[in-house]
Amino acid sequence: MTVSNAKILVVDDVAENRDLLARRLARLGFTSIDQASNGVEALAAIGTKSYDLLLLDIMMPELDGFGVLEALKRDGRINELPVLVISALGEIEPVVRCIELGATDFITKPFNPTLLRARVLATIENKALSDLMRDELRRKQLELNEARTLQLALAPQRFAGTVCGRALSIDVLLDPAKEVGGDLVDYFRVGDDMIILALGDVSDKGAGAALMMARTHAMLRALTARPDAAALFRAPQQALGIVNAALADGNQSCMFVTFLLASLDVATARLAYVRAGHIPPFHRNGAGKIGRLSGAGGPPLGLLENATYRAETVDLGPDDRLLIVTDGFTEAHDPGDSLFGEARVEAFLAGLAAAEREPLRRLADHVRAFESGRRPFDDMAAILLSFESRPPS
Amino acid sequence: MEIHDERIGDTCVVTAKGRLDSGASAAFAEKVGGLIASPSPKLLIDFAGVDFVTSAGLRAVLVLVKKVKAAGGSFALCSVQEPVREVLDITGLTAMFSIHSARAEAIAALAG
Repeated sequence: MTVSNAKILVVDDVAENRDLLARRLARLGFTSIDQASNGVEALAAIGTKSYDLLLLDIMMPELDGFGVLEALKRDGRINELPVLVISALGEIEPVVRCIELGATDFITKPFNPTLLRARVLATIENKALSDLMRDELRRKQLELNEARTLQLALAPQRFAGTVCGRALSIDVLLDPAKEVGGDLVDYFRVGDDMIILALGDVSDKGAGAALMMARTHAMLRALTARPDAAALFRAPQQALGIVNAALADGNQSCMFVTFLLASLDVATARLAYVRAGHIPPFHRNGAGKIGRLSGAGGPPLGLLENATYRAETVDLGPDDRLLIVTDGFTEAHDPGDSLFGEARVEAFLAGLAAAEREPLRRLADHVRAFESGRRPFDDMAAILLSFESRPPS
Repeated sequence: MEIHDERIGDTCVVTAKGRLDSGASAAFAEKVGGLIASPSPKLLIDFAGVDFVTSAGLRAVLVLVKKVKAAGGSFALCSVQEPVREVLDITGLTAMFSIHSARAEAIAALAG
């Protein structure tokens, strides 16, 4: 918006005042100037056209300047439409009230051409700047929203069904603290009898972490297209070693990813897992006892190009549950700076009912409620495997 | 987070106090990074006053280690509190740092 195309509405019940202002504005180079003779006409004009400046008299019939400002404040348009109030010389209280209602500034009658010029041009310039900033923010927000949609789409849907004659369900959750985040959650099948569970946490939040997350996810998924995919994932330390080497190559930023990669051989109910700096998963056995899978598999991904990883195995039994979370759960804080902690996660797992449809959403809601409206501490991602080793009857 | 620096011999000793989380890590890395411009810098970070570290904070420390090593210098941590030590252990990063229980011991190690 420039002086030549700025749209101005002059509102005054005295025709001579309107004409005088319109002529002076035209001399300043403004070409789009409309007039209204009272507040009702002004609001009607504002409703049909997007103005860049309103010159507003206070005392008018039908609806006065206060009424116009109150209406603009009520619907929020006062934030986007600057208003210069026209007041009689010496009228202080009405001007103060107008400014409290959101008017930008004021000019006094009779009009001083120099002052009028300075105030109008300064207001138009500020309006142009704030329009630019608002458009930029809106554009960035749209981009972030689109990125969020794409990121959330990387997380698979919940699964409940039968694999190799065994009933199992997998619940997943991805809840970035900002529009996009650095947590990663995925599961997929390799061959007929292997299910891969993957959960990662990039060492930061926001757009940079989201790019790292997407890169890590793409690398992991690309391994499934290799002819040796079954062997790589059956020994998940091999798959993770390849992803780590690629991420660590030239990683000057030291951004890293803690990762938990597990492969479940559904036929034998054996789970092989590698814990690359990630917090140990929670394991509830069929008897309800909770333990941790704390075998140390290696450092987080992306730091040491030649790092080697080691897998641990655990045999799952009937009604076992495996819960893998990122530290967005355990390290969430309440307003008193107390941690949500691991004990609450364990309590959630201990009290889990088999029939619950979306337990992880409930856990995530619990964490956000614990934060009591504070800005979310961190991204959250989780995966819950509910394993039934007995074939369905 | 509060950051205080002093020079003890040829070692730059940084005392940090508070939470080293994603909100504090960028300023921490920038401020401490600015203290190690000399060739072969010796940097000691005293973590006695740090009670909470997130992965973003660990990343900031790793960036400093990388910078010090690239300049041919040496780096150490001392007085790491138990909650922070736990995070280092869980993430498997303990082995990547030279960690000393007390400041004097760390300064002696860096001098050696």
